[in-house]
Formats: sequence, C-alpha cells, structure tokens
Amino acid sequence: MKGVWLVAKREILTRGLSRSYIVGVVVSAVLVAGLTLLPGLLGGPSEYRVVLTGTESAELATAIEAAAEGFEEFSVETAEVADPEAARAEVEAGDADAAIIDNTTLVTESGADQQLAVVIDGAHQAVTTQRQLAEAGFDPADVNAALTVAPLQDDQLGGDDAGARQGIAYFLVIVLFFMVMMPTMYVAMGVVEEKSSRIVEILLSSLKPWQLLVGKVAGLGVLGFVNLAVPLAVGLAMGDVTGAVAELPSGLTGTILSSLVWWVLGFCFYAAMAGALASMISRQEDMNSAIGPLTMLMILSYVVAAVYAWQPTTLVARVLSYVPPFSMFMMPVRDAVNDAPLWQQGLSALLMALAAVGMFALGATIYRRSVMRTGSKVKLTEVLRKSS
Amino acid sequence: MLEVRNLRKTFGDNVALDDVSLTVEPGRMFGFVGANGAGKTTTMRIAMGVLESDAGDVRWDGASLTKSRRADFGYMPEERGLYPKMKIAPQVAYFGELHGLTPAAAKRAAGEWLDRLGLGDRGDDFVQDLSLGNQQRVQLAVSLVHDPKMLILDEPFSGLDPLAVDTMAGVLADRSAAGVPVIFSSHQLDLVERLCDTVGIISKGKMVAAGTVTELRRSAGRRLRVNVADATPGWEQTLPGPATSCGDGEWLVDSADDQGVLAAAMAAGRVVRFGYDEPSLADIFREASA
Repeated sequence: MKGVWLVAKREILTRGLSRSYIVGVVVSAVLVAGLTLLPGLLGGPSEYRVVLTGTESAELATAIEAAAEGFEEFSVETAEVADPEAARAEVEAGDADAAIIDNTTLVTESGADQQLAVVIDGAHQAVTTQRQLAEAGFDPADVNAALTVAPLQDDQLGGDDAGARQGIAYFLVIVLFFMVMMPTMYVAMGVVEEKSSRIVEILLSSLKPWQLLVGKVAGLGVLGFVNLAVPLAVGLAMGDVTGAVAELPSGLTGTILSSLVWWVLGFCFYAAMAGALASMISRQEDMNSAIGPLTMLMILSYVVAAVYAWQPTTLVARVLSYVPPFSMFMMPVRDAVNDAPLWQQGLSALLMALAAVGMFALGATIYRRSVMRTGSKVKLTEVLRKSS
Repeated sequence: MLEVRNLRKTFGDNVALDDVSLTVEPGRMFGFVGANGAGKTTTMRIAMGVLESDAGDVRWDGASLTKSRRADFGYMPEERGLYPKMKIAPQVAYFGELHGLTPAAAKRAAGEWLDRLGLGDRGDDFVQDLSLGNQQRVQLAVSLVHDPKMLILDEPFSGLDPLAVDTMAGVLADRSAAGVPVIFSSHQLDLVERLCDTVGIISKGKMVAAGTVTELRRSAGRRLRVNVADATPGWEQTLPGPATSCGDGEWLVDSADDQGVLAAAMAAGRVVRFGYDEPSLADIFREASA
C-alpha cells in the first residue's frame, strides 16, 4: 500500500499544486456559484405597468389587477392618465409596458409580453362582455356571477416539477460525463508519459505494475473528485444562501450528492480502462487510436443517457440503469425523477463497483503485460492471449 | 554479491539471451561490453526485475532476489527516464521514498547528491529546463539517492562530456571502494579497461568471455610481435608458428615457443623489435565478438 500511496501522493502534489489545476477548480467554483444566482436574475418576478385612459378605465384596471393575482411572480401596476397622448408618451418613453385607450386600442412598443397580453385580453373581454350584457338588460349582479369561472385544476401526471427534475437529470449527465472524461484522459496521458520517457523502468524496479496503476488512478481521482466536489459544495452553499436550493424539487439535493458516488464508480471503471489501453502504446500521438474503444463506450453511454434523461421511466431506461457502465448516468437520471428506490440504487451501485473492480483486474493484467513493451502499439488480442 | 545464473530469454523467435551467467563481487566493478543488441540491456533489466527471464535466476548474497531486496539496488536504465515537468529535488527525493527512505531522509539525501553532482542550486528547476548532461546527473542522483547496496547502470557514460565522465567515474569508483558491487555497460572500452576489475563480453546473447582484464588478455592468446630489419622476404616461413603481417616488416606470431621465434628471427637478420603483444580490450572484444 505504501507504494500506491507514494505514487498517488506524487500525482496529487505535482498536478494538484500546478497553477492550471488550481485555476481550473476556482473557475468552476465561481461559474457554479454564478449559476445559483441566475434564477434570481432571469426568473425573478415580472412587474408590468399598464396605463389607461378614456372609457371604462377603472373597470379595466380592476379586472387586470384581479387577473394578475392569479399568477405567481407576476404583477401589474395600473394607472390612469389624462389623455391618449399622455398614454402613448408613457409607452414611448418605456415607463409603461402597455397603454389601453377607451377599451378599444392597445398601445405597446412591439407587442405585449405573452402573459401580460393574456391578462389584458381577458380583462378586455370581461369588461366588454359585462357592459354589453348590461346594455342588453341583464342584471349586473347576475352577469358578474355568471362570468365568475373557477380556474382549471393543474394536475401534472409526471408529478410536481417533472420538467425541472428532468432538466436537472440532463444537467447531471453532462456534468458527470465531462468530469469523468477529463481525469480519465489525464490517467491515459500520465501512463504514456511514463512509458515514453522510460521512467517506468525505474519505477517498476521498485514498484509492482498494479501499484503504479492504482496509485496513478487514485491520485488523479482525488484531484478529479476535488474538482467536482468543491464547485458543487460552493454551489449548494451559495444556493442555500440565495434560496435557490430551497426552490429545488424535493430530494434533488440528495441526488446531486449521490452523483458524487456515481462519479467515483464511473471514474474508477474508465480510469482503469484508460490506464490499460494507454500502456499498449509508446507515443502520445497514438493516444487517439489506443483509447478509441473507451471514448466510444463513454460517448455511447452518454448519448443514451442524454436521450433517456427525458424518458426516465421507460423500460429501456430502467434496464440500462443496472447495466455498467450505462448505470453511472442512468441511475442518477432515474433518481432525479424519484423513480428509483434506495435499494435499486444500491444494487446498481454494487454492480457498477463490481464492474470497476473487474476492470481494474483486467487493466492491471494488460498494463503488466504491455507496459515494458516499447515501439509500435501492442495488440490487445496478443496481450490477452499471452498466458505468462 | 550478485549472481546471474544461466539466463535465457526469447522475444518471439529471437533468442535474446542464451545461458548467460555472470558474477559481480562486493567492491568490484564489472564492465559489461557487447555490440548493440547483444543482450546487455536485457540482462540488466532481468537483474532489476523489470523483465522476466524464461529460464535461469538472479541471486543476491546467495538467495534469490525479491522485490523488496531489489529496493536496495540502484538502477540507471539505458533510455533515461525522468518526469520532465517535475522539479529536480522533489523528483530525486520521490525515488528515494520509493526505495524505502522516510520523506525526511529522502529529502536530505536528494540534497546531498545534487550538491555533490554540482546541481545543488538547481533543485527547484524543472527537469525539462536542464541540459541533457545535467539531466544525466539527475538520473545518477536518482540511482544513488537511497544509498544502494548494488548498482546496475546501463550505459551511464553515453552522452557525457569529458568532465561529466570524470564525475561519473569518480562516483562509481567511490561506491565500489565502499564495498558496493557495481555493474555497468559501455561501448567506451578504454573507460571500461581503466575502471573495471572484471569485464564480461556478450555476443549474440551468449557470454563469450569474462574475467579480469589480465585474464582476458592471457586467454585471448598472447602473440609475439617481431620485427627483423633487412630480412630476406619469405623469412617468416622459418618461424615455428603462423605469422600475420602488420606492415613495415612487423609480424604477429601465434606461437607458445617464444625462444624458437626469437632464434628464427635472429637467424633472419637484425632483430629490432621482439616482445609479447598486449591486446587492448578493443582487440579482445573484436576477436570475441567475431
């Protein structure tokens, strides 16, 4: 274990203290912190001002304000002005979002925002209908009663916030993909660096090949984890302060935290594979072809997950959430929409952990058999067939 | 004492080592010479445990070598290896720790060796910023940092300027004098001849000669060099053994009967040169590798 620790420590110290790494962590933390402020900046309450003039202004104003109350984070302030010129002037100056003249003309800069238009249109319909019915001889009280309609009940079959949950699941898939991809590449590059500089020969005179592989994966894994966890912690803390976390659909904080576990499992799986594949080549130029199978598998599982993030309760999604390495993306997706009980997540994590261990065993074998062979790319079949 | 016994190694159909044995005794310096591809590097890699042999074994002080006992060895591979983007002092110390030193001891030893090799003020530089010769010094420091009980160095002198060669030779002689068995390979035969107590010559995977330089000279078959002024052409026919001309009237004679050769030469004319010819290591090497 001491050998593993020394190798890991060297990775952590040499890369972790490098300027590029530290800057990277700080930048992502700042970006994530900025993201938590976004909802407040973009999705804040919409406030409108509507000016009215001429006939039925008072009725319209009352109707508009009443309708606006039905919406959350939406409010309309109304005011009466002296004449049409004043109303147009307010809209032109940008002081008002809309002006209504004589309950016949709507003045805006370039059309009213959708929600505002709906409210104004509704008010216009209501006030006009009421007047016309009254003119036709109906009792205003009866008219009023007849016109009062209870709003439609909102019943989302996907449960509350289904859209938000799927959006966050999709976001998690993207984050997991990139956060696993990056340190995995570092593992591959590090293995080739040691092999191409032949330093591996000195290392292997005092270390076993598996110690070198495990130490490298562990060291770069710690750095990758910090790179993921620090921005996440900053984001959650900031979100707590700004109230963004409280607005998350319930249980999603847990999903975000458990995605850290999925990250660890997924990284171990892919990093072991990357180390093994990279040990078969001697030059950085051969990297793309060497780790081609890994990139393919990773992109495939990412694309599948990205598609099924929007259909997380289908059979395919449920099956794939148990199949390593697809499960590292699919299970968080299902968890995000509350489709996976804890035992299912545990079972899937266990399978993924077993796959990672298996990949380590296979990777260490490939690594041991090919790391000392230099020159052209070692063939995988050759490495696997060799019995010694 | 390091004993390499009956090593055999094949790469595919290519027999890289065929029954290679050698012994490096404490306090002795063993020079390992051979043409490119003869098997020096393969032998050393197997001795370091970096490669596995197909047959034969490597023993240290009478017992077979394990990974932990090899941790006491110092190794310099033929194709140098250092982390280009790591600072020198931590890098040397890292290898010290890999060989079992405590962090503090490794740091101290790294500093001492870098001082001794003239790199004391460059400990915070990155390896990639050093000249090749200085990188080689760092490489030597890496192989020495843990005060090894055995030194295995593959081509330690290649690419060094004369001053660096002297530094390297001094360090090796010093370690050897401290009782450490040292084995190194080199193509610089004059250097091997000057530094080494024992020399092994390997050719096409086989040890073709091994022993002290004196022994090798003796076994190479000493020849008599004789020059007779004013001898009539064809006089060499009277010699008791086969003779080859070296030009300018000089002949090399293969014969154990030195007095017979002298008598024949005196009979042929005025003898201006007569004596045993000491072959250089290069001569021995050429002959053994042929």
